[in-house]
Amino acid sequence: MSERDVALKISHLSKKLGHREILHDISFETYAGEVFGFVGPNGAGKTTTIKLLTGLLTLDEGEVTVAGHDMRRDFEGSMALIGGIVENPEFYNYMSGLANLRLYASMHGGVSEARIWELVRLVGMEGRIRDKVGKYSLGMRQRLGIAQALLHRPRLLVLDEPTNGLDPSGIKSLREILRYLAHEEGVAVFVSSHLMGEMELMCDRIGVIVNGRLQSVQKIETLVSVTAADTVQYVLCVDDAVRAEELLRGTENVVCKVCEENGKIQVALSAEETDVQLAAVNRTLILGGVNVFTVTRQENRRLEDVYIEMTGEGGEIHD
Amino acid sequence: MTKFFRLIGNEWKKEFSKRAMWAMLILLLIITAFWSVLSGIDLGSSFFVYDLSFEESCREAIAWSEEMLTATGAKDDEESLHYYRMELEANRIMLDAGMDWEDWRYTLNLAYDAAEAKLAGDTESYAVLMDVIESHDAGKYFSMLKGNYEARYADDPERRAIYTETMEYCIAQGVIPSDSEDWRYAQVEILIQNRETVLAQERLRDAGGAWSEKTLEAAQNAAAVASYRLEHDISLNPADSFEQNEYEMYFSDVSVYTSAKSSFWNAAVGSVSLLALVGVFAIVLAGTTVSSEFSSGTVKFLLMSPVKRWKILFAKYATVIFISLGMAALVGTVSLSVALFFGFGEAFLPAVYASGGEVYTLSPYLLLLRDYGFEMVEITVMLTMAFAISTLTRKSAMAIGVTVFASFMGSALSGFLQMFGIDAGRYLLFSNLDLGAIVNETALYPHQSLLEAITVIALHMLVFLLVAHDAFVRREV
Repeated sequence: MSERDVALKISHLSKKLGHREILHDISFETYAGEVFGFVGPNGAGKTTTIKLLTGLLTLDEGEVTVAGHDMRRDFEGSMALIGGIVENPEFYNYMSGLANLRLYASMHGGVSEARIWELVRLVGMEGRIRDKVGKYSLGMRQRLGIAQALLHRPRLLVLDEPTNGLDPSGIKSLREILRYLAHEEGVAVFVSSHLMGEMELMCDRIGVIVNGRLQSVQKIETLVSVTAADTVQYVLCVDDAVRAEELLRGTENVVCKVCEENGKIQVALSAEETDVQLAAVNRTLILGGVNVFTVTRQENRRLEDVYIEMTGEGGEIHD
Repeated sequence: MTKFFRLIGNEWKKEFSKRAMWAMLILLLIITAFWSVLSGIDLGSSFFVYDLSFEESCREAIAWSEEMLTATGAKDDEESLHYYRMELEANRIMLDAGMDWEDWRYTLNLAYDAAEAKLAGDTESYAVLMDVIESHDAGKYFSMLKGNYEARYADDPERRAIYTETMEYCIAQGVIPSDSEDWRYAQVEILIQNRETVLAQERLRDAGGAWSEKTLEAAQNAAAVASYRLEHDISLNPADSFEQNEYEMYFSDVSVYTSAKSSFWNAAVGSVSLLALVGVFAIVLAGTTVSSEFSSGTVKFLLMSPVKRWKILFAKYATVIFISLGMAALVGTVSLSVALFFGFGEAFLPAVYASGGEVYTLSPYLLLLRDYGFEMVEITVMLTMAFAISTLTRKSAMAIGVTVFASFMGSALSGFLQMFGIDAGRYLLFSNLDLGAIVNETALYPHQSLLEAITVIALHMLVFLLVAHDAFVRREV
């Protein structure tokens, strides 16, 4: 992963508003072609981070680099590579959606009329684009906001709570658009949200922020283990994980993989014959010369569980 | 640079997408058109309605005087009796001569003069006056005046010359002694009055008395302009329209001769005061342009674009100034177009001025441009103030209110300081905004110079702009 193009590099970012430290020494990277999810309780510093990235707040401490452009030294260069929506998408209500897009396009320069229409179609706004924005619903504003954020083909797309005000089909199409942008067009997408179910489906990696400190940045697969209803997961602690995996590879109805953590393997067993299969797995390993120390049944882990675990409380406000 | 023009273009598009903008422009258009029509129309005599014919009025006065004389008789004092007799005699003369309301013989009260001469037993004067009245000959009137003045100033040849020359001119040129019938009459009177002033001032100077160089010069110049106009047959002088206000204000104790004014230039000059309205609109625009972005949240839209903040701010400032200039141009264009209906030919008259006794002509358009320019300086200062406050507070109403309040209180303050003799008041911004007054030396504080005013204005502008820049660039959104 880290070999890929770094779209956003944040190092040692801290921010104080008045005497209160909102962010404390945040460092992470996002890459081209991935959807990065940024989660945390209210007041944890998500929006502050996003505002720092988008030039709405001034950088005091730390560095932000967008595709190699230092934001402090080359503000215009780095901002040209960022598109985004912070908090609610805001438009000039007395102008049409199209006029708003044209206005934004001209702020960037080099955005063709064809590109504007391409995005209008992408977000499905052809029918209402000539109406005044004042008449739009929140969902329509959200979609117009995404079109606006993408006009200048940004390398980094920053979205703050993009699913706010969208109906389920709107959320689904947003997810599809974002995954398409990241995986097909190589855009780095940076999304913050409270909706864990949504983030789980949308993101490739997740950063968790609590009280202005970054708790962890991990791949979604690592954080979440979801198994089908007819299988059960067990984690076995062994002395030689690689050998264990080799031994189990041929076993019928058993899917095995080596965990990232040292000396652990994960096996998925059929729910109906769990006991028989577990005994068989154990026998195979011991006969094969691998010592088994512990065997733990693993519950399905959803992002929500991880989130609550990390933040301590169920999304309550930390202050 | 092209990016900057694009920013200005965007601001322009936004402003003109607002209904309020169009409402302001339409309001400005309508008010300007009305104002110009009103300034162009001469409301003077056309609205004066006589409820009696001249003849009826005379007969009534005669009947009344006769009644008073017979009824009251000796009971009244001599003064009243004299008055009734005068009325009786004068009205008889007017009736016999067939005068009318607009007749110069009536407006100059010749019948009363004749009546008085008759009652006083001055048969010689009576005969001369009656000759003028009966012949209805302006030449005879001026000859009479010439004779009178020559007799009065027999031992003062310099003073006598003033009257001899002007009266001879009137006789030779057939001047009619009526403002409404002959523009030259007012010029002759202006010429006489100013030559008298020049003479009096020069004599005071030579005698070591209290004379004023300013008064002397002003009188010399006024006399030079009047005689130039008579010589070159210039019936209308656009300069009169420009000097209207100051003349009325500062020489109100002096009898002012109403020389005819150009309707076209009256309307054009009248439009200068309409720029106050442009000023109000400019303050509203400047007070809203930044704060409305904050209140609607669209400021994020601006700040997230790859443009430095100071450029965004400056584009907004420049746009407000451009729109204000545009509004001023609109006022100018509309009022000049309306004014053309009142006097098409007058649009091309030169303004006649004199300096050091030497006459020169000037395009009145330059004068108009100067007056507009002075107003625009004031408007620019005020809108810059509103702009700075709105970047500080994010509240449009606050910015507009504070600016309007400051402009009232500021000028009141500089007035108070001047009243209490605190000379430091001259460095207040509001003591320096009326550049027109400073140029004409009619400003509040003595010896205010244009350079000083420009320095004070520039310093304030600098502070306003720095505050606006600092507040906007550092603002955390």
